[in-house]
Amino acid sequence: MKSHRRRKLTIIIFLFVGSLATVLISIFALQNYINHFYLPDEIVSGEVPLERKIRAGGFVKPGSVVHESAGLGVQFDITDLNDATFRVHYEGILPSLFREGQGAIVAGRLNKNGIFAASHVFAKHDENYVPPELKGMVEHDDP
Amino acid sequence: MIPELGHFSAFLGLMSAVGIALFGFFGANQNRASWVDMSIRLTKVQVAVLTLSFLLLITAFLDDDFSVLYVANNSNTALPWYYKVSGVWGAHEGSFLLWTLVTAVWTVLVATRARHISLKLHGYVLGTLGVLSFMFLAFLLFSSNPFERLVPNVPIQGADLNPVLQDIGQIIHPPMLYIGYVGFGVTFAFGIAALATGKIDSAWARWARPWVNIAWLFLTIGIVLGSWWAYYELGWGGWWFWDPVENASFMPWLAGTALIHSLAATEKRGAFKNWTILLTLLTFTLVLMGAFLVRSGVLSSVHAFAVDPQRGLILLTIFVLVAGGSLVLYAFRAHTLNTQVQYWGVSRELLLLINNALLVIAVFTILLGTLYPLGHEWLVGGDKKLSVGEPYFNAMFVPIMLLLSFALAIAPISRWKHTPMRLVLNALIFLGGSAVVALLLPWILADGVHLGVSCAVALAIWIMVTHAIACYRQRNALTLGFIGMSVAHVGFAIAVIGVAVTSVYTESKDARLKIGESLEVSGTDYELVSVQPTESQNFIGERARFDFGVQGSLFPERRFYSIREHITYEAAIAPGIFKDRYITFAGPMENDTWGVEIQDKPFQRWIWFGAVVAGLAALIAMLDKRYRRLSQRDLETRYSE
Amino acid sequence: MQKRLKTRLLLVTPLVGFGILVFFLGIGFRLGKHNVHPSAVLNDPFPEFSSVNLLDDERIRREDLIGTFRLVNVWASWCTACVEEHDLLLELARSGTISIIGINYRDQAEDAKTWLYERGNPYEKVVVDAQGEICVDLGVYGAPESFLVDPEGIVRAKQVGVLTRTVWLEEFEPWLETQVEQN
Repeated sequence: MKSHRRRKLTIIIFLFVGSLATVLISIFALQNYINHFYLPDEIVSGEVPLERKIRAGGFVKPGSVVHESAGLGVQFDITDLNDATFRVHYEGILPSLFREGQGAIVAGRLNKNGIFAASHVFAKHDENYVPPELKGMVEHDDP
Repeated sequence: MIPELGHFSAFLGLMSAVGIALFGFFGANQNRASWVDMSIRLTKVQVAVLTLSFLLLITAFLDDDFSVLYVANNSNTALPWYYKVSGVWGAHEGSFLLWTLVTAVWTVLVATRARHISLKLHGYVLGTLGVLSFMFLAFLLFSSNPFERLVPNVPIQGADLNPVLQDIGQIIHPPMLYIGYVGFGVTFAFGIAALATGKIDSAWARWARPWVNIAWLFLTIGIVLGSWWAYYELGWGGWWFWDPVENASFMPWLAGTALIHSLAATEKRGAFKNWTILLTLLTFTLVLMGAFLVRSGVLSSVHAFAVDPQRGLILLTIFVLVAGGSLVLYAFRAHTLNTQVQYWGVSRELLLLINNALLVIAVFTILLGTLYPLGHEWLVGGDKKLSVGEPYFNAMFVPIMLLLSFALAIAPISRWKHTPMRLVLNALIFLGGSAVVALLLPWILADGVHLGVSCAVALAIWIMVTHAIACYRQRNALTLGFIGMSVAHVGFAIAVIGVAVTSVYTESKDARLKIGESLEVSGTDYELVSVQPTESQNFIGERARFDFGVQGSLFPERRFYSIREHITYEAAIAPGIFKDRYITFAGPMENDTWGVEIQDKPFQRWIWFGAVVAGLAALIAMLDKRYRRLSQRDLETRYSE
Repeated sequence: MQKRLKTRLLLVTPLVGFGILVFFLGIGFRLGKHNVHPSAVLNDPFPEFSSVNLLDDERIRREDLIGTFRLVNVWASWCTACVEEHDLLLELARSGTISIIGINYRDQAEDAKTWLYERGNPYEKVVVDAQGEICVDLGVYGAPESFLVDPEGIVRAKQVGVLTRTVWLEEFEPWLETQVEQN
């Protein structure tokens, strides 16, 4: 009976330590691997850390999409429909629903020249799609 | 008239669900066989009327009846007939009708196929399924009616089915998923019934296992199809995105996997009873949570359905009632199921416990990653948005899976109660051998050694070896159950190899090519031979031809769907056992050049192949004799309690 | 006895975890709902524009909207969701509840005219916005979207997505009534 009790205690301690470790590791991983989302005015104002993996989004400025002369490089502007606009460079095939005037989210790094080097560009497979991050954008600008 | 009839049929389904629930519960409670039989009969009525309802919606699609709002939004006269049919479950309302139909089919199967179990248990199971069915149908009829009319302004043309859904993978993917999801609703009902009767023994577990297996099989196939579809249809060769909707299907899958293992211990040793019951409840809780996440718009995702706050509220209510109610029942009743089972050292029980702990931790980390943005938004305020992406999930998930592989490799040689140390040490010797192979292979193939990949491959080979040896040693007394387990684990190992190798060794290049130019990827030259216009009923586009190797050709396309003004990239894939060649064609660029991305993806197929093997293994295990033998014996005890 | 209590407590943990989960889902849900009604230009003047009227090809400017309450509705013939609100718009127009101005968003003129011909026209005027420029100024996410504009040309209410009867009755109409009473 005594050994049985001790076993049970071991299991409970094991479970407790295990779950505590899991929670701590998860939170640590979340701190490190989280992608912060920024709006165009934040990017422009310089409060965004440079050369760190972040996400940003806004609307693709009509007429700003320029294909580079070699490779699949493409540049376009992301705007918040007010004054803030930043330039994005992306190497690769744009997602099928990427369109001028529509919402898009870019993931990548902001370099010191203020150009966003995107490793991924997201647009949703639905013509009425607004990334939820952008829905807040407009409120954000409201006084 | 047809839509009204369909609507009415669905309503009859709702009525029969009420009957199934009432007769089931009270029949079990009062121990009246005639009431339970009534419940059984009603399940047949329900499946009949819902099938009719579903067929009528299909008819509305085939007839191009755009007076029905749902048809107008998701179909088009130019659509081929098979996409009209699959358009039925292409969006929220119709897919939920399918969901309720699947529930009815599961219910009727449980009603008719499980007559050998005790009357009480049967009644409670049917009662629970009746309640679930009632909630789903009420949700369908009152907030997502697919038969809603669009009068008086009937459009002459429909809006077309979303082009990315016009695909064979998308035709069969949702039904498979729903069969899996709702199948875990059946195991949920088993759990509730066990709590209600306060009795859970090895007969209960033996009886539940085939049902869990088949639900798990369908969910596996569903997830594999989804992944495969994303791979070839979304056009950039990704096969898993840790997208909230994928997570919503993956979490119940992990919990279901844990359940399969925990049930084994419950059946054979009467162990983990409480835990098994909790898993039946949790798995379905995760299913419902997934449904809420996908259909309420709380989280954003490529796959999410259109947002409607009212629907979300109803789904949240269903979620709270079903999952919360079951957990309350658990809190009050589970102590009656207490067990004392002894085991020592590296016993099979311990390995199963480790397996369950790791799988639950995996579920927890995914849940945390999926919901963290919500919590953060609430704590910090709406200002700072963030998202949890691939790096987090990979960082958490990969170590868990490696630990799991380790436990899994020892599984076949382990014994119940206690495993002699000699056997464990023997198994460890094979780990050494596998590690040498895993390190030598990449070195010989001269691509350079990647430690993580070698580690994963070593574990995978080790798993295969130990299972092969265990099967060989037991060759005279092999049961289908043991074979099923071994095959499933080998399938897992195959998938591990695929994931590790593809993730690290994929080579990808993009370029602009003129006709006649070529691009070298991973030692092969791909020449752009020609580009031709292409066209079909509902799209126009360009079709390119790439030649490679001795006589390989690939034809990727870029399509423009005019009705929805939607571009899709139809990647061309040359599948192979050891590598996939994957070409995406981006269409015209300046100066007569064409954009292209070419990828070389080694061992890509192994991921899905492994998962399918594991899924089929569940089928093999299900055919084990002991599940059939039991029916005769238990038939006699049905009414004796 | 104490041991039993401990077991019981252990069995309640899943329920507690579930409670926390529901709490966060509920939070997310409320936040999500909140986001359905963002306020791009709320209480700001309707932006300046100059375009043509789809119905008569006459020039149309911001000034032409001033002077009365208007419901400005962004729509397009390719927009399937627009069909859902069309009945309500027709009803509002026919009953004379409010004057409705359409903004035809990124559309072909011929398609748009056919669409109106087939389904009925609730619009007093339709502003052509083939390039979507006006809609960029308005902060439109996509069609359909509706704005309630007062006689001074200030945007007073906004609906992203389908203008449902509920939204009209609970948000637009009450406001409209209080305003009309004050004047």
